[in-house]
Amino acid sequence: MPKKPNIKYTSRSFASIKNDLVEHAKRYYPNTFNDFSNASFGGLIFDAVAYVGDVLSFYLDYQTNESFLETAIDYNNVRKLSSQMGYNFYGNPASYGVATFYILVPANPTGLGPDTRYIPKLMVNSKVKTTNGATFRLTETVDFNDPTVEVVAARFDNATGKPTQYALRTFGQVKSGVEFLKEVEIGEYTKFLRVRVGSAAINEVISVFDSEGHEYFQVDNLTQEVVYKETTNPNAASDNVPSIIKPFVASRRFTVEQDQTGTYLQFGYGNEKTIDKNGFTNPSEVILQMSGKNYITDTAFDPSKFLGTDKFGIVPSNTTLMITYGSNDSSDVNVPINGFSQVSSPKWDFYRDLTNPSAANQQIVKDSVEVSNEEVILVENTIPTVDEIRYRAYATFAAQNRIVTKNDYEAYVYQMPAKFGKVSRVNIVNDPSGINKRLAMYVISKDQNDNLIQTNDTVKANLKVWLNKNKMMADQIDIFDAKIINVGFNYKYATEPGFSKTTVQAAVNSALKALFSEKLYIGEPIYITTLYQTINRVQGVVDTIKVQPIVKNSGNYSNLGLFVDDILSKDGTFLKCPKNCVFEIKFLDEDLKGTVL
Amino acid sequence: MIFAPKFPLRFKEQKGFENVLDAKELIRFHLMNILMTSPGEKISDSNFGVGIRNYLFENISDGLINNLRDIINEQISSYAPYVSTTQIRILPFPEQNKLVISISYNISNTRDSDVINLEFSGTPTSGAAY
Repeated sequence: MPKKPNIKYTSRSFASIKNDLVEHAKRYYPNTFNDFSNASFGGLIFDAVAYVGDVLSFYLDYQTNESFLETAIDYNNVRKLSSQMGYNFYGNPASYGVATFYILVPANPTGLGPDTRYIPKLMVNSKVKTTNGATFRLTETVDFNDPTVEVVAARFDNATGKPTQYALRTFGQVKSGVEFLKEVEIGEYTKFLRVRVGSAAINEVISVFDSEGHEYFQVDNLTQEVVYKETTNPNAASDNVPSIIKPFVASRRFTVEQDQTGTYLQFGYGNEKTIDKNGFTNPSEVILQMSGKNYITDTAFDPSKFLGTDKFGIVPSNTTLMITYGSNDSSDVNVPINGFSQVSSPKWDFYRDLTNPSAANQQIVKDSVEVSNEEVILVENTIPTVDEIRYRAYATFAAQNRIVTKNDYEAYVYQMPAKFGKVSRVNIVNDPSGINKRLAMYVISKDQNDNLIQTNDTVKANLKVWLNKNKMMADQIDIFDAKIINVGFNYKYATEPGFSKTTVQAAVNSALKALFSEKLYIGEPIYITTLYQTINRVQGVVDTIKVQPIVKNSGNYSNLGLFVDDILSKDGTFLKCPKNCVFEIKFLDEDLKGTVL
Repeated sequence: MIFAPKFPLRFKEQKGFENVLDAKELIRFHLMNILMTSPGEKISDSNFGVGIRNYLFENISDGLINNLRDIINEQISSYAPYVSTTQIRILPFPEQNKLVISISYNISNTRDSDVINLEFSGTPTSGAAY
């Protein structure tokens, strides 16, 4: 039996592989080759083989590292691994806000008040444009007949002085982006069909129907068979609840997958013959497992799984899928005050002018419509970094779709779908002013310049609904804006002789900017000692003499009226951050000022 | 006894790859490698090599020649310590972008000495000749 070669599998670097090869040749081929100098032909061969070995070692390390969330660095891999743990995020998020609509309505024949026949409804999905070209859609129907609508006389008859037209003002929820319809031909039955919808900028798949009229439902994972469907509440007026949620068995279902190459629908591999359950169901019937045994085994309980199937839903075949999806049509969906320019595609309903409609008067109303916004509409539209994705995934995995602990709450907030808006940082604490387990949730968002801003009211309203889905029944949560404390630092340090002060200053600036490149978390302190360490580590710095924190209170900052002594620890080593505040170094170039001695 | 394949490789039935004849031939091959390898070209040692081709189109001056001589001397001491150079002559032919280098050396541990004459030309098809 041939003896196994003596190979050192622990040698993985260029130098160790080359060294082993030389040793091997010296030991086993002394009478064939003995020219080991750098200038020899053997030197070239050893170098080349060690090079290949080093490259193989690199890819082995790389592949192994990329298999685990802890060590992966490739953005798409981190995203996929996070998705396995339950954390997903999609596309450029939509921004939400409130638009103000104005119309002129002809006065009634007496001149007292508008003629109610010509007061219309502006229907859901009417489109408005911003000055920078972004499209927003109305997410609700705006009824100008509502009692809350403000009415003022706007035009007057010069002769009689009576009003001829009244101006009406009301508000409506708008959402950025437009709907797109894509038709995809589907051929023969394919297991685990994957359909490309479009680019990675898609933030919502609104509906999927096939040519036979079957609807496909989006689920978090293909084993999830139940979706909760909204149905109209017939007692909406008395209950003050517009919709009822009912469990619905979604035999036709898909998951949405997104990476940097695009957005995809992933189907399972069932067909209509094997799975025919579809529609509203009685959970108490389908959840029972029929068994001939006189005992039952305790199985894992999953409230989203009623039926026992391993087919992951019906996959469409020999049909055409009609996919409606939403996506922003502009890279900038933030709107300054009065940033709306026009109602570009209004849909009117003159529901009180049906008996003897007057096209001329209706046209006056249609032509007069104007739109503006009284509040800034902002959205946190920065894509999370690799580290942010990683830590959110850990938290999401630990939460297991239940919100119990503080970490659960934080993870679940970050998980809110982009179509409802986004928050950048969240902190949840026991409300110091509350009783009966009240919780206080502090949130903050980022603007397009990556600066912290208060979270939009609509996003907070959506957040409330989102949390209600999975929160503990007894928990009561108040959502507040976190207060931004803008701080800066002045520092002094000495340089080594022989080093250019300008170069060292640039390196120190760069190191400090890197230190504060990611925004701090709510309640996170700033350790001044860390600044000392960071500056001291820069090549050319002898020692940091002083780091002086400053609270920024002028016009461009949050201006809370705080002083450094209010937040400086007793020993002066760190800045204490209250639980409802977040430190921000807003302008890294101006707020970090260094002096070289 | 030296066991080192002669370059370019020639394979002979029964005998395997043809070896160099003696130490002189091997040292000539080493010296040519040192002169012709550009710094950074060798994977394991980025300082290895004179990179003589880089000098062919330089503005030839006495300073440059002296500098080149120093580099050759230093490289030979570092990477071919088994020879001691006795003379390095460099003859430039700037009009033809050509350098003729003559290195006289003694082989350590023996009383042998040798001279290697190398010609480097800037024309694309030509390499070193000795």
